Amino acid sequence: MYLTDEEKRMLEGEYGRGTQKAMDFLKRLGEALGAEKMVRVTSAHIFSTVPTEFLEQMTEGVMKTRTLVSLMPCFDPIYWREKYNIVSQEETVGGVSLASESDYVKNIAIMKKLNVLPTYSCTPYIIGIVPRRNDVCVWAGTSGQNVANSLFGARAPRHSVATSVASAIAGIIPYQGLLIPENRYAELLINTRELDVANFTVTDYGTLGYYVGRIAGTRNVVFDGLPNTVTLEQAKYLVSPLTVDGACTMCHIVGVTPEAPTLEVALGGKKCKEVINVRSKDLQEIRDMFNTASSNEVRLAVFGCPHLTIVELRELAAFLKGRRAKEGNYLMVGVSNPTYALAKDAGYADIIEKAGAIVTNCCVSGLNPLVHISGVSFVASNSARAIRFFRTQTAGRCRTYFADMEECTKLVTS
Amino acid sequence: MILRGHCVNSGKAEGEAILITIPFSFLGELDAATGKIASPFHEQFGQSIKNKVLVIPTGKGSSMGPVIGWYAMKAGNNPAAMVCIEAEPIIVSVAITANIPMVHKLDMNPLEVIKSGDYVKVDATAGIVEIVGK
Repeated sequence: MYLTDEEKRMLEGEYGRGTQKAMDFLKRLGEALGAEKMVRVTSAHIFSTVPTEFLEQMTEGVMKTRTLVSLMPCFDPIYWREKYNIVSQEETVGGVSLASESDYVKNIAIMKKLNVLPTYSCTPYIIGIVPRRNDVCVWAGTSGQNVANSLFGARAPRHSVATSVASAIAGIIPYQGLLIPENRYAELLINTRELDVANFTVTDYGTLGYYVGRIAGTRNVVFDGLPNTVTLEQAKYLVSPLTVDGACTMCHIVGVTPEAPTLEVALGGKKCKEVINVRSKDLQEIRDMFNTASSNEVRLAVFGCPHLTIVELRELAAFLKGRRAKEGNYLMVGVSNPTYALAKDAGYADIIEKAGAIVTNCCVSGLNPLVHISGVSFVASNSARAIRFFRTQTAGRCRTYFADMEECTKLVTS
Repeated sequence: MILRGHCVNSGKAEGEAILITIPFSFLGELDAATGKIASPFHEQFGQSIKNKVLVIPTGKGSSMGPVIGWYAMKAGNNPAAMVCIEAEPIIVSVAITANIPMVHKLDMNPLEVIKSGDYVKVDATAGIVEIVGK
């Protein structure tokens, strides 16, 4: 693999051990993936709830990052203990304890030292970290990767939380995968003409995304037949479940996304080898799989996977006006701080909070304190991604109910 | 039988093979505290991959994979080595983060020539997988 003189200096340890470790990580990664060189990164979005020892090794001697770095949501164990008396001890997600208070404090201190932007969101693209076409984004969180590629035309290769930390430190990433224009064309055509797409709700989009993600594997997909009026919110729920049981990180929508003005362009002028005609029966099977709780069992309604937009908060406030969470029931809303500030000014946040909702910038699916620590087991959500994570990350303890926002709010409020 | 391919993460290890014929995600599918398949929706739910040679098509799923791999490493519950058809970036970063020797792009499909229970030696640095037998 070709390395510049500066990259060689990083690898030889001239800038300290953390930079050396990050560079060594990226070189191994690049060689495994067959990359010929590294390229500069426009923006790295990292996750602070990684093992402290890992983070300490990667940042040893590092005084500043070599690119713009922002933060994913994290679980703040002190906040949840002080405000809601939820204490993380032996409880686990996939056999891993959520960060202990001491690890949390150490990790956040490292983020502050490196001047990482405290975005605390899986939706950096609506709070100032707007990916432009051809920007190189190394983003933790597969939903953000997918949105950056698909909806913004940025180059966001599929990478892990570990890789995004290394990339933030070294400011580079191996040139491979979706960074290379030829690798961005669709390989799998999804025909939705048999579906009633004109009346699709966000849960229909989520079901479709989850279904397609499982079939696509690592392939890029193109949807043909969706209305060109698809909103940012609908598109967010379509692309975010593509990686739940799959690894599809590039999703074109003909007539909607920037690299798919026509089907021919999305396919790179080639003929598509495989076409999937999605039938409503296929989506019903997914819905049946997602609905493992009955509506009257639901104790918690969760919105905000990915974090809500201001448009969704406005909708939610309209549904919740004059309502209140029932005794023993919970409503949890995941939203970034800047979007929350706007919702506060607009009056939406007060309505939502008066209804008893817990509004948080935490991850409300994979790191949901009520589900993973308090053990709430009957959960409703409008997010296919969240529904599937609740089920798999609690080893099936959590039973789920999948419905649109208005129906979910009615289950837990009166 | 010897298969030749490319190094994903260097190192040498050997052990009993376990095949998983669908892409694998460390988050959601591996219980780091036990080394067993954690998802009840997985066909091999409850089977252990600890100290085994994990043979998979590729990775999938969450970008949190290396975090699970790290904790499984600390608990001594990771596979001894991984062999896959073609690694995608997240499973590569799991191998690097958790220091698991790993090879891919072999001259034969490992899912066709290796069987669960076979004893397998992996020299990831040299890109070689040797199937010793039962």
